[in-house]
Amino acid sequence: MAKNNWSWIALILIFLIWVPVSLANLSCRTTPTARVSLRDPGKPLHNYVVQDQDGLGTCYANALSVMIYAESGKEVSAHQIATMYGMAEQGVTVPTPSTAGPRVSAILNGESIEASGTLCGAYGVIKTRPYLCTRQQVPIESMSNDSHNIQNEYSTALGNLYDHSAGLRNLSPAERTRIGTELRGLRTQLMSRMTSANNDMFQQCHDSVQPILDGDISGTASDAFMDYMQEACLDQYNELASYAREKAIVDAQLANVRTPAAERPGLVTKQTELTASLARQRARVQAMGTVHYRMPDQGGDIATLPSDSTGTIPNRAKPRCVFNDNIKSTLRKQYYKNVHKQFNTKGFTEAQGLLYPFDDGGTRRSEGRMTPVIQSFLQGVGSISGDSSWPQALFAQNGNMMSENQLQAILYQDVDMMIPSECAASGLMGEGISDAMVTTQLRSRGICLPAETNSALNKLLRSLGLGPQREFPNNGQIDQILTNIDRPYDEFLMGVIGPGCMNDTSGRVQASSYNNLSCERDNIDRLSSTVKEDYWRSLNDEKKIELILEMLALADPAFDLVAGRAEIIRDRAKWLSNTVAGHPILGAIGKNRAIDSVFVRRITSTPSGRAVRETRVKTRLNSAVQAKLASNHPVAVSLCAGVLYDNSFDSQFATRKCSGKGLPGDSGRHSVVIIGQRCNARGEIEYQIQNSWGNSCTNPNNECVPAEGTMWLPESALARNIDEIQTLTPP
Amino acid sequence: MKFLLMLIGLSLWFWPWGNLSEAGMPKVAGKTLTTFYQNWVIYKQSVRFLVNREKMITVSDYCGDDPSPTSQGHARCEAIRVLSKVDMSKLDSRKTIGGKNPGAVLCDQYLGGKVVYGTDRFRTQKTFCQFADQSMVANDTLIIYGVNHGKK
Repeated sequence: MAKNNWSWIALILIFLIWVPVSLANLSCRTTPTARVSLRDPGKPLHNYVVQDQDGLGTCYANALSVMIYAESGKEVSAHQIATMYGMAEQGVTVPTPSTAGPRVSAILNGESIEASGTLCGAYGVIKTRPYLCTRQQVPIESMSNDSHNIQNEYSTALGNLYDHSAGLRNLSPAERTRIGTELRGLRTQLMSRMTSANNDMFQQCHDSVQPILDGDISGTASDAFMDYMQEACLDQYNELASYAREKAIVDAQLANVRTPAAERPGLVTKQTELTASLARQRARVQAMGTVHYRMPDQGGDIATLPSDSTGTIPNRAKPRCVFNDNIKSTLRKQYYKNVHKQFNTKGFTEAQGLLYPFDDGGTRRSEGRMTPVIQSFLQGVGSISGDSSWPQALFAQNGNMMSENQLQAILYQDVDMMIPSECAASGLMGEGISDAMVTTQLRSRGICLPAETNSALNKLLRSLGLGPQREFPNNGQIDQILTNIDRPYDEFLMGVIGPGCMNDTSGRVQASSYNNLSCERDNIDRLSSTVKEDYWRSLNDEKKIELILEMLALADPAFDLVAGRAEIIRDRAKWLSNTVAGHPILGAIGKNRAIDSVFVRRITSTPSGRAVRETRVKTRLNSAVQAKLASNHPVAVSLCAGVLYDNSFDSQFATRKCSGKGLPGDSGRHSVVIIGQRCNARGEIEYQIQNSWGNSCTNPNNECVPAEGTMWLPESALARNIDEIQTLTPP
Repeated sequence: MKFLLMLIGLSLWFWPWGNLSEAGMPKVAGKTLTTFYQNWVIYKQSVRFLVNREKMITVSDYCGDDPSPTSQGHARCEAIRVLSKVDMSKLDSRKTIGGKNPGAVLCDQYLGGKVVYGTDRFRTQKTFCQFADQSMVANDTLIIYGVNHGKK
């Protein structure tokens, strides 16, 4: 009998949970919602390359860069946005856990909610600038691709440097001495990191350009396009190895006498298909070359992988593709020769035109078309392999031909590497290069500078004690130098305006493509103030007391809940009156955001408060998103990050706290961009989220495309977890 | 009773069980392979990873793809061993403010690993956690396993 009772209770509970979920899911059955995704072909974000912000607290800047990409088609550097924002906020007293003041480092590292910034705040800063740099033009973002967490390390060190340096102007002599010591430490640290991490980048630049300067284009120098081809070849090999691995599993299943007879026909079919896939893929790989690997502590290749290997590559082994001679020859003759010729005979501008064949009067998106140089290359490779359609696979992503922007981004790296006249003028490419900091900095960019820029930067860095001179300037000199520095040189020093960006007026993002937008914030929490008041009035005294006690306990971990209750029992009316009317903490509601946030969350986490809030937020969200997506504009939202990875009731129903204060079960706050909307098979609206956590799928219960860094989130979960909507509106 | 059972069945049917996109992965008979290889360029070197979509794991090829507790004792790599202890509930939210990648924070602050950047040929970024034995696991794998352990 007892068992039966429990069964009934369980069934009723399931029913109670199912009903609200099902009702919520019906929201787009009655009001049809057409599928929209700004990632679709022809839409503004189709070519957007996903970012991973790693350990940096720059989500608002990453989100803003997505929004600007949708407007301009340019990959604006999120790192530059965050740093400029931090500099603009310099001097503003910011409450951080330990100290007040350091702003740039706090902004970059998100040391507190306030310090991590807002999207509209950042936009307000960057819209006043004449141009922004692309990701490729910002050194630190490029470095992040190549080394161990160096983006975070650099940012922290440079942020601290800037914070301290800017503050030098107002410091006492004793404080200057202290900061000077720190600067020396930072200088040493930076020199060490830049030298060890980036020397090889310079070497790569040198190796690529020097043979061309020497008139030799038949060498094996490394370069951007060749690197791309390497990865394309290894991808082809991986596909082959994946088929081989799967076939080995199927073979073993069929050989196993315990495999049920009913499963065998399906396995045989699969085996046949895998055999065909293997044969096709093997032919493709063999047409390209062979795959070798080498160990870091041993010179040269130590083995050649069989073309259909099912074994693993040893730990730390580095695979590489060794191209067949005819492919190498085709690369050199049909690609590099052509590009090099253009540079030498027509100059930089004309050569750029070679790489921008689609830039026809402002229509920047021409899907699936290839540059003539690449077309020529493909035809060459196709004729070698006897399969004219196959080489196209080398330029395909997710089964689709690479976009124009993607191709350009790859090719553009070669443009930077192939400007012989500029390299020669700068004197950076010759022998006997000084191992000074300035050249190390330039090496780290892998880019050659015109002489005048090089000279200016030398002067600047030398004066800061970062130049070749061994003597570090005294504090008075530092003070004087810092007073003289103004943008964009300080931003250059911070690594957010690279030489490429300073020189390249055509590649960088011009203000006209982003400075006339209007950034609007819709603070959803404001909705809650009405809910809060209505709800508060509806409560009886017992409930009010319980909520107040809970809130006090949340605000102050030392608060004694038992003693509080005892005090209420002694004189309830007086306590309640005092508390509601003039309690120091409750009195701060509406003035102190943190307390207000705690209070609102407590109320909105109750079933009735939550339902009211959720309905209102859904309406607000839906109208904002539909209007914006219809005109190809994404919508940014601030939310509790837990909803993106945690399927627990607490996260999905937003009962989990989101204060960012390190409380147990607390999740951090985050900014993401809504780029799509659809009605799923269950009749529930879903929103497509563009995240900045790289190629990943952090929530297996939601559909996502790892390569795009996108995820479809149910409307209900999103509505419960967001507290602000931000939009950029064209005039 | 039948009505309730029907409701349960319907609720399970309509429950938002999601699935991974299958675009761009090796397929046979229209279905994406459960396990496949993928290369990421890390510090200028191509590194091969094994991706198991069923187990939601992306780990250095050499490590294999068996994160089960029984295999931990003789796991070849630290990247696999950490999967049994990574716990998202221990993550201090103060360290993730500003939308930091929680997997990167777990790696850096709790697992003694080093966060490294990987890119594919399309410049797509993905971060990994690298350990002293040079083995690596994707940071989103850490998130998924960390959430699961946090629930226990």
